[in-house]
Amino acid sequence: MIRRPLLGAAALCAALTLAACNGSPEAGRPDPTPSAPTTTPTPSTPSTPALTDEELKAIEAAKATYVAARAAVEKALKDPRKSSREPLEKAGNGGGWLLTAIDQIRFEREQGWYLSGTVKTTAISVISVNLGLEQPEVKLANCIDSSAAKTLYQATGKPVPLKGGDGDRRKFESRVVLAPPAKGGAKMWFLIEDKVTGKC
Amino acid sequence: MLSPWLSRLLIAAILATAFVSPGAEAFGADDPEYVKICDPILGKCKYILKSEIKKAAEEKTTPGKPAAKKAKPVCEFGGAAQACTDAELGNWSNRQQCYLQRLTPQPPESDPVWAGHTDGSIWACAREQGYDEGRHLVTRWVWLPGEPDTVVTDPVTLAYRAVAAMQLAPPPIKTAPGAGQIGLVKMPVWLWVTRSENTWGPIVRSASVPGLTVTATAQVKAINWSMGDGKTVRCDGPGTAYAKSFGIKESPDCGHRYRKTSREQPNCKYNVAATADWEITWQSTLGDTGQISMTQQAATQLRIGEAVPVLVDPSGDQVSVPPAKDGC
Repeated sequence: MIRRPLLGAAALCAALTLAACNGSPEAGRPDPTPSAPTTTPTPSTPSTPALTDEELKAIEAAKATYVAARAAVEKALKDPRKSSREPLEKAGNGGGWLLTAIDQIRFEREQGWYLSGTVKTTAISVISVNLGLEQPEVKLANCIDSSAAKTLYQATGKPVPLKGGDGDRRKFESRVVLAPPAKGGAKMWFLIEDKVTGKC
Repeated sequence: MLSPWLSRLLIAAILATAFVSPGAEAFGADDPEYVKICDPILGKCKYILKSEIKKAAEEKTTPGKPAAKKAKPVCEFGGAAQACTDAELGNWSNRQQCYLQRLTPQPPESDPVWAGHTDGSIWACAREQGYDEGRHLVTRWVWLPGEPDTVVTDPVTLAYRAVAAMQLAPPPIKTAPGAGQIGLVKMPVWLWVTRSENTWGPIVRSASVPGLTVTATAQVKAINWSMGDGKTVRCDGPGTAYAKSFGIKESPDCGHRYRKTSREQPNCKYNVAATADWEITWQSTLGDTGQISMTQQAATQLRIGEAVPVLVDPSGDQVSVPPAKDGC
């Protein structure tokens, strides 16, 4: 199965809310009649091919995993003292991303910090889906909005005096793959990479 | 009275002060007092005073009072003691100098990290390092053909593995009179154990994980014979095997005399149990030492009767024996 780049869909969905992306008749499928101009990744494929049912299911599962995995990390950051690895893995955090999350949780635990408030995933769109790989893969683009979240001291509840910064709405590109857990068992979707690429 | 110009300047200064919040004092990104910290979860970087960052690394490496017998830590990083297990990162490998945990999910075989291997696993090799911005994980992926050399066990666990390899057996106990014979009250009973490496010792076995070997030596210290009549005989040696040539005399080192017959015992026999007390000492290649106590038990039964007068008719072969009172 060939890789299906969906950057046009990503650009469209990124401009919409998560609900809009998921609420379309075929969530994850690019709008066949876009109202705004979109760019296509390769000139040789000017129109995005229609997604199969299998791909649509994969996209939905990958999105759900992304949300669940992110939520588990956020929960851990809200009380790093009580966090452990197992719920992070169960929620679909894996690969290098799992270590990245654990690193941050440990750092905040060690510093006596915790996250307060809400982190919103305001847009999830599909960059590509490739079910022909050894590990089927869905790449997503997301906007993480932490404007309603603060880092506080566990001891005092006061804000950690963090200054400057590059904004609270950050765009991420993520890789979600379908693979069996290292301990064995049925295949599941894992968020293995989630890298910030700029503002959103 | 202030001049209008001076008044305006003063008001401007007051306003300017009012609009600067206490936590928003100016700082420069290149201010040496500040350090940039990036949150990969939220995807943003901010600045914080270096003094606000806990240097946990310093606290962790503060030397404590060393244990008397510990010459070298089991898990060490550059010679400094390291916890052997981390709930989030896995088990420490002295060889890799990091905590190892099998990467989940495993990367696809096409991933270069496999380096062409088709067996083994990819492991996340992680350890914390402290910098100005606090402690963070340094992680790399490593391919290993089998289980890693992690020190998942403390030396005590390895010592028990070495003991298990000894296959210590219950003492092969012998008595005179033997189990199928009848002894007599007030007559000597000899007790002994057939010696072998795994029933008496000394026996030496080792158990290892890469980087750590524990050698254990086991030896029976004593055998406690529970004779079934309420008495316990402790013998520091294996005892002396009885031979007919010894006649009716007491064992030189391990014996007993019953005062009553076994008539009132279940099955008309005393239940005899011999418990071997093993003393096991171990030492590790990293200097740890310790002791383990263990017991092995064996059992037999002894029938003890009493000598009764036998009337013999001198004119014939008739013998008159008093009947047994209870069928024993």
